[in-house]
Amino acid sequence: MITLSHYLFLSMILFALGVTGLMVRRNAIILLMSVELMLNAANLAVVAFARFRPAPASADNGMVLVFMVMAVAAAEVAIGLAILLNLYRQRRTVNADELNVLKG
Amino acid sequence: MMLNALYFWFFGTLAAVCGLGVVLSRHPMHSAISLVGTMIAIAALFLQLHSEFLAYAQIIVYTGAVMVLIVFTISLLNLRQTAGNPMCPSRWWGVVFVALLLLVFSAYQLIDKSHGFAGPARPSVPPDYGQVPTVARSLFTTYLFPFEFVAVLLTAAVIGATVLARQDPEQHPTEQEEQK
Amino acid sequence: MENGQGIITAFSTAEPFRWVGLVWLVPLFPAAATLLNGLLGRKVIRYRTGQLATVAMLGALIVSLLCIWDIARTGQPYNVDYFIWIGVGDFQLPFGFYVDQLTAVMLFVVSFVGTVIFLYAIGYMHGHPGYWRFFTYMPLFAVMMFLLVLGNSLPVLFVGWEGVGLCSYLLIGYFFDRDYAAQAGRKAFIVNRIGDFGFLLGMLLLYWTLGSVRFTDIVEHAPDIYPAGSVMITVITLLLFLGATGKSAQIPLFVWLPDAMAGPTPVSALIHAATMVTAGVYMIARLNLLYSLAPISLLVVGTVGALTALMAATIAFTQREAKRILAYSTISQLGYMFLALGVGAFDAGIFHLMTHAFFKACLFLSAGSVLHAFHEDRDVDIFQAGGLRRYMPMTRLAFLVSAVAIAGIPPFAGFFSKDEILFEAFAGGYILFWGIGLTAAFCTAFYMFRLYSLLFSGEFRGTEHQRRHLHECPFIMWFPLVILALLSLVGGWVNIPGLFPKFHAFLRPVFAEAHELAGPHRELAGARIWEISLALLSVLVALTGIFAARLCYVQLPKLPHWFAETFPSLFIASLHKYWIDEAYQATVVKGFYSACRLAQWCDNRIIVAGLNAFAALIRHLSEIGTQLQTGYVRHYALAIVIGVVFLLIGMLL
Repeated sequence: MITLSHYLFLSMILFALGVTGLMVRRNAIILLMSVELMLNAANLAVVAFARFRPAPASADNGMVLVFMVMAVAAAEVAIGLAILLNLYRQRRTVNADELNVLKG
Repeated sequence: MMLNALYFWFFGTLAAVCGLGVVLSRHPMHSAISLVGTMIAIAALFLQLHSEFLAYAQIIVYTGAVMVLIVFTISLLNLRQTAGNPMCPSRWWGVVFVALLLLVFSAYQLIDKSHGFAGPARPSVPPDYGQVPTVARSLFTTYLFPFEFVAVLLTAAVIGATVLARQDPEQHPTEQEEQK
Repeated sequence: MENGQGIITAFSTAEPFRWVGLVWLVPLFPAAATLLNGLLGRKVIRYRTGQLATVAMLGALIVSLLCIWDIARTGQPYNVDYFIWIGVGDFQLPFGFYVDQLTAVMLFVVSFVGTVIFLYAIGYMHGHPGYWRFFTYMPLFAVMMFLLVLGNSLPVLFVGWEGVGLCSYLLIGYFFDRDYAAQAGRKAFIVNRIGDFGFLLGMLLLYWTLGSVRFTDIVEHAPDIYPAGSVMITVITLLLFLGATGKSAQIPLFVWLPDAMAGPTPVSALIHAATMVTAGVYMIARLNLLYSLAPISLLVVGTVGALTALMAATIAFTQREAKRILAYSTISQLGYMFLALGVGAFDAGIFHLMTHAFFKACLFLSAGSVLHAFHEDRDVDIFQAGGLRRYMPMTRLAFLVSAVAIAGIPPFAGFFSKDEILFEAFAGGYILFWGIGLTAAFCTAFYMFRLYSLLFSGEFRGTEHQRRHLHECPFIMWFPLVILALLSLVGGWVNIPGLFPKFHAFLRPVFAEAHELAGPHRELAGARIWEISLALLSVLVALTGIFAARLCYVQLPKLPHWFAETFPSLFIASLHKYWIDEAYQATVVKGFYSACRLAQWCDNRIIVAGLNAFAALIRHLSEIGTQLQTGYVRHYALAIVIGVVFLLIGMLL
């Protein structure tokens, strides 16, 4: 039988993978993708919670939240890619290890 | 019931394997394609969770829009395989593994503390659960203001992205020559 | 009228109309003149500024006369609050005026002498650069002096007090492009500041202990709060007196007044006769009740006055410049006034203040017309003058009348006031003060006729070029001289002891309580006989002084040289003004510079260096902190992950 815990465990694994990708990759585009992976993992957890423990008053609160997260994620990707594009024009690289002008 | 478990294990494994692919692929394009796989698998899991609206939204927004944008960007930048390791130096792996171990361990602990993997079954839900009209009703009544807010956010993002990505021909003459 | 309800209340029909209710017009006239001349004088009004200011002063004089007439008729003091000036919590200080007999006398002196001086200044200042500027400051000076005498509380008085200090600075430094004038202005300002410091402390202490700074409250509550002779009242009155010594040029703060000659002569006349220096005398007379409660303070006031009178008079013996001699004369005469206050004869002090205003203004304006004849701005060396009686008869006459007045020859004004001070000192049992006063009276007569003789008698000793330009001053200048000379003659007649003591009767309500507190006046046996004989004695002394001066500087010109050679130490001490300026230079100024240098050293070596060291430390620390900012996205993400991990650990535990 598939319970809430299964979904949560899967969500956790995906989230951990996202964190690992964020930590270890050098390509900024892959960093963005890792962030998307983490967001999806979180979405999965939210939807699972919504299904297994629906709120008494309004059962679709969780779904609305996920919808919002999707919209924000889409906006984030659009902006992030635009920044990357600009960055590439200026520095001719998207290697995150070479982008450290914010160094103190 | 058996079918249900099989469905979960199939798509769950697919999501995890594709997620691993995102992290480990040497080429960004492969990562992107792996991510598409993960997202489709998650959409399938949404379906299993009776969230049909979200499942379709997932396909349309993520695989349809976001991923296409990413793939386009990768193609546009025409990123060659960078010399050397695409991963960062190995000493980071230690740190990352410690973090991951802690995360998974803590997740396990949390899950175990509540019900373990033998928790209660899915409660029955009304037939219109997760259907478009249901979600839409919530969105346009209770959550109207956040909805409108998100609309503003998206508009701002569109404008911002346009401004950021716009190429100024006078500013980068060398670049244009290069593109020829 | 006790609670300031605005100016409208002053006209409310609830009370019968009183002319003194118009008193607010008195400062308003010159204030308007200041404003007009200041804003439009340079370009629009130009040489009409003088007329404008004089007319404004004339307006103030007329309103003042109405107020005085009202006060004299009703005998009721007039107290009015116009608006709440300072309102902080419980402390509600209204801005208001208080008019009683003392104020009336001061109003008359200020507005009348002021008007005459303004009239004179029109002629004197003609052709000077910055004519309009002069006639902007002068009415302002008058405004401040009016505020000083009209204020119904110490803070309002203090506004005027500071205001005349400011105006004196502006006017003494009128020729600001000349170094000596700028220096003199600064000196006056700084020395006055020291006195003001004492005044302010005294005022605050008074508020602290009494709870009010309004004159009516002071009169009402002071006897209940301060036991006679208590330490607190003594300290308060002494601090206030320090302020008075600054403003009224007494020991130890008199040094600014002789230098104040750097201003144009009408300014000197205004400062010396009508305004500014009389402020200290007025303030003590106004607070007579407080001083009566503090016999020690009164003794200090009297001692300082007596010493100042004698010292300044002896300095005047040897000075060479006309205006400087007159300045020391003023200091000496102010000493007389303080002597009078010190022996509790407040009315005599105020009387002398009034008569002195007449003849000192006359003397200064006469000296001014001599300067005018010499085409001098600053001062004239009396040994380069002489024989002027042929060239400027009107000036000489005015000067002679006022010199006789100041010397104390009856029936001129100075005799009545000065003799009364001496008599009061004698009758009060202050024989030493009386002796000093009498000596100073001799000195006064001597230096004044030395000045007169050197200026007007004998032959002209200046250059031929100067001699050819000597001329009598124009009508607009000698007419004021005549007015003042006339008053120097008749001014004392308002109070002839025994026959016509109107002035004292007029002032009696103001000082009645103080006289009562000071105890029953010691009656001399056969007072009338004493008074007449003492008066005869002082007249004799004055005549001796006059004849000595005539002898030394007209009949036997060798005599002063012989004296100087026989007693060189005395001569040199007087010539160098007892080295007071030098002593201040060596102690106060040098000491101040040393303190400044010490402060500078501390500032540079301790405070600045310490701050720099601290800043350097912070910078080094922050450089360590900036190492955290690597600029790598990964590190920031890692920091977030570590934070999440810690949160999870916290949740698990």
